[in-house]
Amino acid sequence: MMTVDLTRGVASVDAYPMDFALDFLGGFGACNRLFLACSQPGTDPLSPQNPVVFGAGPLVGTMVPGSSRVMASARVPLTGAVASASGSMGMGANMKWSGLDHLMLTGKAAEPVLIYIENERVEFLPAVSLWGKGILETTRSLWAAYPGSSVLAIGPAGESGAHLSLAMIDGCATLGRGGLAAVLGAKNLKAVVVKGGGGVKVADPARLQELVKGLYERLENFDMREAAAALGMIGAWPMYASQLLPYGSSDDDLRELTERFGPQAYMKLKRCRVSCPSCFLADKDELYLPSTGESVFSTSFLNAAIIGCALMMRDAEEAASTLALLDDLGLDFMTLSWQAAFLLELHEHGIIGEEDAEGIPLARGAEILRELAARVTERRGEIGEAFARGWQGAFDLFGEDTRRYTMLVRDQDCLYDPRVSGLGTMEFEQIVSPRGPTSASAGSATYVPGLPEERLRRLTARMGVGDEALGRIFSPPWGMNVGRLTRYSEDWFSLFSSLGLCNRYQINRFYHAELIRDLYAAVTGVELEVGEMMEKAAAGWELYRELNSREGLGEDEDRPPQAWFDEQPLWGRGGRLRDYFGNELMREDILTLLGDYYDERGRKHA
Amino acid sequence: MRFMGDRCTGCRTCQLICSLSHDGESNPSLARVVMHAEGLRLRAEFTPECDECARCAKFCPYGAMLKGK
Ligand code: SF4
Ligand code: SF4
Ligand code: SF4
Repeated sequence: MMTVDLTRGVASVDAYPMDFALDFLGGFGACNRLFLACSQPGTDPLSPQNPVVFGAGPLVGTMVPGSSRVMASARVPLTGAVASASGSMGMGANMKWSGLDHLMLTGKAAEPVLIYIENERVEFLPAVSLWGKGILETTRSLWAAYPGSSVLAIGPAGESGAHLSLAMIDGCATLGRGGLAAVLGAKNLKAVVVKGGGGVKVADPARLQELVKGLYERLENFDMREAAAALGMIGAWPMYASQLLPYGSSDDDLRELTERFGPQAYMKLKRCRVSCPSCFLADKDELYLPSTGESVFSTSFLNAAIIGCALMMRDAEEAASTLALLDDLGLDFMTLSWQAAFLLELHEHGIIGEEDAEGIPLARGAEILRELAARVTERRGEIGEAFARGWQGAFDLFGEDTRRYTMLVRDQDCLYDPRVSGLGTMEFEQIVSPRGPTSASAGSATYVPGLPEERLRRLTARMGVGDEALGRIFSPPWGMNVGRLTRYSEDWFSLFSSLGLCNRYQINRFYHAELIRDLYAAVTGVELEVGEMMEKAAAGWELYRELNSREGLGEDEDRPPQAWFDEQPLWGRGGRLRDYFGNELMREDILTLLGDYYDERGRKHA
Repeated sequence: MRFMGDRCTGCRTCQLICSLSHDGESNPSLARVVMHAEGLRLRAEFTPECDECARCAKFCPYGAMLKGK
């Protein structure tokens, strides 16, 4: 583990406590444990005292498919939560090839700096000339200086301390919703460049090779392989399109949306597919924008389609170039899009007029987002300054009663609306996750809509869930109790993120708990029972929860947003709250499910 | 061995299987195929130690490594 003191400009490499790795598997769990050991509750997220702990789990840097994850624990400014951010691309693998499982950053540099790490050696380099530059330019210039390296960089939004800022790894993987980039910016740290020249020792190479071969055979038999290989997440366009369509849309609207943002529109922009180390079903891209002749990276074209649909952009190129702009500034595209939608709602309801918008165009399209992005980044004007502080800033400016024009969970915009997609684990998780809406629980089978109960049960069993728990989850009156299932989705996420596996459904669908246990044993030499392994994963999640309870973000915050119970459309979403199978749910049902979730976690329900 | 750069996504599985099967560790620097990076684009160069075992081709998920000239 490397500890970097930015205040003094020194670093040291030490062994980190072996019991942290053994008790919490590594990555996510061990980052939480390290954060507990080195932080004080109530620390100002933007102060030098707020540490940032990176971690790459034991499978990272190997050829286990999708073993690309790097985690980062820090207290973030948007909500004050201790967020455990999950990113990908080459940072984690390069840390491991440098001999590092963890990297801890503390203090604050006097001037903008970057750090270059190569094989346990670190250099502190001035970054004054990069300060103010976009993430893409920063990343490209650092790649040119250090070929073969991985670059974590912040953009101007992180430098200005915007709470909506996030960092990017290698220009195409986000890290740290909720303002991790602002935390790094407050430390005067523009970038972390890592280049590993070594490797990861493997306890049983032949066993590892056999296990990975088995995974490749499963990939061969995957019926969606061709579509996923050619199109990435857009390969499952019909599934996503039904969730992106504004409430009350017709079949004609769907056709139009598909023309603008669907597979064919994507193929016109696609230059080549980009992959994290070890990934066998990549979903990142280099895109070509014909009208400017530029080439840009995308975290996934689906994200461009999301903002394109939400703000009715002209076409795929406009959406992709707008997303690239937000990525370059280092802004969270989801929160910023919903802030734009919030302004439009206020305008539509007569709460603000053109004259209150400080020149921001109050019409759907790319312009409102681009203009808002510039203002938030520069903290320009009343709106720019207020929105840079997140939702609380917006309510301070326009009044607390404008909350009803938003859909917030734990003070962050709701990412997955169960009125649209049904209440699966990803939707339910937003209420109980210490950090608010993330896709942590996207690894369960409810990610895919419309599966019959029997199939859901089989796919849940692969997550290391025992027979008794399966009996409780798949039981009357709902057929599938999403509160109970969410506990195991969290543990599944904790397992993947602790070991360093990508939790995206297209990757995690190939795994089951026994296989993961065997992979862990093949790489580390540590043999575990599935039950033991899942207990360690659960301990990592409980610690995450505890870290946030220390910050006053405990169960009192576990509340569904009012908008879920209103049928009226908001931000283009609407309808009745329903469960995974489409049956209507009431507020009391959510409370019951919350109680079941706590029960499954072994907690008392307040 | 042949490398088709336009299919390569940069996943480095070729180097990881090469070093795992020959040296028992996941270590790109030991692989018998060197990947020269320009940003995220890679260019492969096979070293004289390459024994043409073709495991890199077998495991390349994107068909960018092929056995033969
Ligand atoms: S699915 Fe995407 S994020 Fe996950 S490992 Fe593959 S390329 Fe990386
Ligand atoms: S395995 Fe194939 S796609 Fe991956 S880096 Fe090697 S040649 Fe490129
Ligand atoms: S053919 Fe065999 S030895 Fe040569 S680079 Fe590929 S895996 Fe390595």
